[in-house]
Amino acid sequence: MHGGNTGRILFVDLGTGTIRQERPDPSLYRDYLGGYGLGAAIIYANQPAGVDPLGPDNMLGFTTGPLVGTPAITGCRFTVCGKSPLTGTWGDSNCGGFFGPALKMAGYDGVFFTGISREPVYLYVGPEGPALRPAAELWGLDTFDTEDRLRQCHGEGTQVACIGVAGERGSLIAAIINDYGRAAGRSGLGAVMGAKRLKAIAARGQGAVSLADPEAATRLRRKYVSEMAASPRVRHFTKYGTIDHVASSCFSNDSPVRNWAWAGVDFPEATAISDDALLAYEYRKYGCWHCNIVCGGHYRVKEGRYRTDNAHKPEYETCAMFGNNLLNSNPESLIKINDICNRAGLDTISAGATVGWAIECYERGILTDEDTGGRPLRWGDNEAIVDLTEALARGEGFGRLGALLAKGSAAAAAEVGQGSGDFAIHVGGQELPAHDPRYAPSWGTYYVGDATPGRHTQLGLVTYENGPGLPGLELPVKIERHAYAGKGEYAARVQNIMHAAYCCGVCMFAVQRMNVHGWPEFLTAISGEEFTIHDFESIGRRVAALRGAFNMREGVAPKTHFRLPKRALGDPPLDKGPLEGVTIDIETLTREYFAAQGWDQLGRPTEATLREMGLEDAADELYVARPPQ
Amino acid sequence: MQDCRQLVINLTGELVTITGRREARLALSAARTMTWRDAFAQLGQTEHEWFGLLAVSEDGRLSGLGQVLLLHNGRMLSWPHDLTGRAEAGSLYIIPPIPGG
Repeated sequence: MHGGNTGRILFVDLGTGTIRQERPDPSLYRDYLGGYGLGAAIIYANQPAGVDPLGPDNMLGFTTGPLVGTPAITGCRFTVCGKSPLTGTWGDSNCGGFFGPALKMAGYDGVFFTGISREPVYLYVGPEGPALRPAAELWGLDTFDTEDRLRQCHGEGTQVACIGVAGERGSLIAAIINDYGRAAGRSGLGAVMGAKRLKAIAARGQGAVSLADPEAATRLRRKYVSEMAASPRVRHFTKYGTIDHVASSCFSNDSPVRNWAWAGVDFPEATAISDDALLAYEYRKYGCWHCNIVCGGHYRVKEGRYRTDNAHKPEYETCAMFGNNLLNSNPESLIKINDICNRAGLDTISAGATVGWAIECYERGILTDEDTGGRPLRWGDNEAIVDLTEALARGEGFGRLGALLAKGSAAAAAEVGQGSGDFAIHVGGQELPAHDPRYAPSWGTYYVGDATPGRHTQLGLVTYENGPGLPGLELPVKIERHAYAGKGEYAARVQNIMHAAYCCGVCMFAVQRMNVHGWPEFLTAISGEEFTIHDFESIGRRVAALRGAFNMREGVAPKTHFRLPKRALGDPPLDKGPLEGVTIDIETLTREYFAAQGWDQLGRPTEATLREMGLEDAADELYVARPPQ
Repeated sequence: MQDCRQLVINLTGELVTITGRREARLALSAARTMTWRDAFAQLGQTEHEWFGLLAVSEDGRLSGLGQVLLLHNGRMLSWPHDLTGRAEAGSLYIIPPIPGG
């Protein structure tokens, strides 16, 4: 591709301190675009199977995408990818803010780390070139202070992706934070940074991303900004962002209540932690780099126990997982919890789910006062929830729970036993986000069918089950929520298109709200090569197959390793509310989805599919060198 | 004295922006049977035209929005069957679909 990419990727060996630059073959960009596609291609080719996710051989990639740093709508995201210490499978997580464009404008499409540094370091990428710098003075700082120090050192325009104490101390649910509160939260990849003693990447970009046809790109931006500005849906989202539906998702039961065991109608207090009730704490809007939606905000609690300043707005996921999921109706506690997690570098989804598991353990007598240091742990007790979250972030305190919960709910349940795994709500080790497959069953398809289990950003066909679908992409059939047969083909098609869009480096919220044909239009103008929506579907299918091949090489098959918890299946079903009596047919959903992707009954890409996608090396390795069991 | 009971309609999500309100109220008369579709049609006249679209919708799917969910006193009303039933007093949440976030 002529434009959109720099054509340069950095490889950093933290063990030897060496940095080398490579110029990949242009076909790599055409086949995988960027994001987790590019990450999967490079990691699959360079990393053997079976590495310890926290060991030196696990590659950790930070990638941008061809639309990052360009006029494309929301072209600001970077992706972190590698083998997840939380799941032992392919892991990826993407993040907005300002770091992605800065890395690109500093001259690189991505950075891949191997090895373990003897001392804490950070990578600086700026006009002087890339360099590893000592980070002993940064180690132990929270993410806010880390960003401030690096900006003092390298200048105001420096953008930072870093870990806090959670990643340093090896919490398996640690996140990577950019711009004081944008998080690559999922998959525990902050722990991989911590294990490598890599505190941060500081990027100072001064170049411009080359565009094949700048005039066309600018014209497209004007067109889509104008279309989106005219939409009441977009205007509403600009005002509220994701907090607009905390209460309504609770009442519809798309959102979990009391660790997924209750109906939302039993928690009317959810209105206290939703839309205008939370918006009252916003003192300034926040938008990611060049974003026309601007859904974020800066929040402040002026006084009281939860006094907080300069905090990012808690997103829906945070409010749901620490709010209705824990029967907590105190909005100020949610702002505080969000700030604790952002400063420590902690995934709020996994953290909220793990606290929910702990409260239920205490309620059932599995965890006792001996475990909590004598502190009662009850649903809705916001003071205990905040204190426990602080302990979890530090990995110590609150009896032994700080250390126990820092591992995430699956590992904690495995350690505690006594049947507590039955109510640890995760798939393959990753805690489920606040979207219920009983409400929109295609959540279940992706929670267990995607290579990174338990991800709500893989929303695909959910946009049709529970919404108008992707703008500009009509399906030939009406998608009914609680019908199961006949969905697989569409679940695969829509997800594959979204895979490609994400690999370009754009935001899920824009993908839901902008005409889907706009993405290949932008890519055509920016890259100088022709792309259509059919190309996106094909590229997305290749990316899905390669991520699946990564898991297959690790001995992981979705069917046997990724199981929906019974509560998320509706086994037994709820006895009240909108989901009364609902049990979903996950077997039909996944069987059809696997078949549509060209995967076998266990959800592994077949040899024919790998070869059809041009993944000859993977096909040879997985089917010729050591045929699957 | 006329026996009137109150239906309180709570609008959520994007419907707040579309209709410009968070709540609407309708007095239901005991003397006259009113279906849910009738109720929405009346609200379409008195409150906002969006309710009129809801009144004539076959399956609750509205252009650009997807299928809305109606939750009356904690119980879901099903499209289209329940919509021809009698509107009852109490609390009605109208919840637009949220694809994810």
